[in-house]
Amino acid sequence: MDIKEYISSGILEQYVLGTISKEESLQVEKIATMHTEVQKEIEEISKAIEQYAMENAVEPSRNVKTFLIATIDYMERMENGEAPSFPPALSATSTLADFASWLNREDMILPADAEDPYAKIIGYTPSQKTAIIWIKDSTPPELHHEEYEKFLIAEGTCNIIVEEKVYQLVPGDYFAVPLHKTHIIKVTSAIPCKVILQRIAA
Amino acid sequence: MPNKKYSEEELVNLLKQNDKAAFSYLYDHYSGALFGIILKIVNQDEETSEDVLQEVFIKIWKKITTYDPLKGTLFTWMLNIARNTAIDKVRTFKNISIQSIDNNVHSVDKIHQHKSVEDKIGIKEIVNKLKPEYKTIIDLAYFGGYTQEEIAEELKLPLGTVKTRARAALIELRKVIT
Repeated sequence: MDIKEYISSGILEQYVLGTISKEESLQVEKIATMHTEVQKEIEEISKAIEQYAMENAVEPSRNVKTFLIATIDYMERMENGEAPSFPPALSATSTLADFASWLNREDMILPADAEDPYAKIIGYTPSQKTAIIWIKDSTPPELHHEEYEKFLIAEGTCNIIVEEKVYQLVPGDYFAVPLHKTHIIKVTSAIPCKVILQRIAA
Repeated sequence: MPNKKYSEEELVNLLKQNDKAAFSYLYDHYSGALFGIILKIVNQDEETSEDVLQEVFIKIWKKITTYDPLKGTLFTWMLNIARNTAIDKVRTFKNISIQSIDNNVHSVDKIHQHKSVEDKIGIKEIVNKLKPEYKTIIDLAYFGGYTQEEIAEELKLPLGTVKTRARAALIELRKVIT
């Protein structure tokens, strides 16, 4: 086998990208164990691809990490035997007392080293997700086309800014974010603003 | 981007033990690179791309025990998860297998212009040093989830040319980044 020709055939790039069949992959791996040049070439291709992707990085909104970490935490809690609970739908008539059993739970606290914002999921169904969110400073701008977002302020105070309009909120206040409008939350209290958030499929 | 504080080996070992600090580091270090790729495939729909990104990191968290360092780098393993998840999403959702490649290339360029957070000196020049036809091939073949056959058909190029160009593009890329 002509190794130079094999290397230049393009199959190694496809191997690294996982776009060839299992059989072909196994064959590449076999050849790589026999020829260090092939192994080296595979490493170089991987490095180049990683570098290129890093150079074209686009930073996602901070919210993604907040909900990712919260989702993993929730999955673990379920795996460890926590029973799922079903918080009521949030509406203009909701009160903090309706959510007392979740707000008062011992594990529903803001850890000292938490990133901002921090979330704990308290209810999760395909159509309705409910979480407690702690915001120390602000949330990055968000825009929803497919979900209604509703808030009930539990502690602290904040301004919810929807496009140009500012809504000043205190504990007990309810707010529903309209679809297709960019909104941010800015905390106005010294303590973190603790909020019940619910997202409902539109 | 935070300073590197784990070697890849340490990182993988910690992740296999479900270490949350390591996972947080992994996210901080690689989410931008994976999000860039997802945006290209999902074609600029940010809300969907963010959902895909979350799904990808959940898969990484759950499947890390199956990752075998002998079969490839951590990044290429994650890249494959990201690309496949994004392609699945686009296919179920809009029922299009391939969007117009012209559109896609165009939107990729738009993303580069408006959204790239990379303002490190030299980075832009590096990518711009690549010939446009190489950049197109790299974006489509290596990150866009298109097969070489699909690219040949869409760009109306012989398959052999696509293969040669894909390879040449990567060699060129390696030259400019090393």
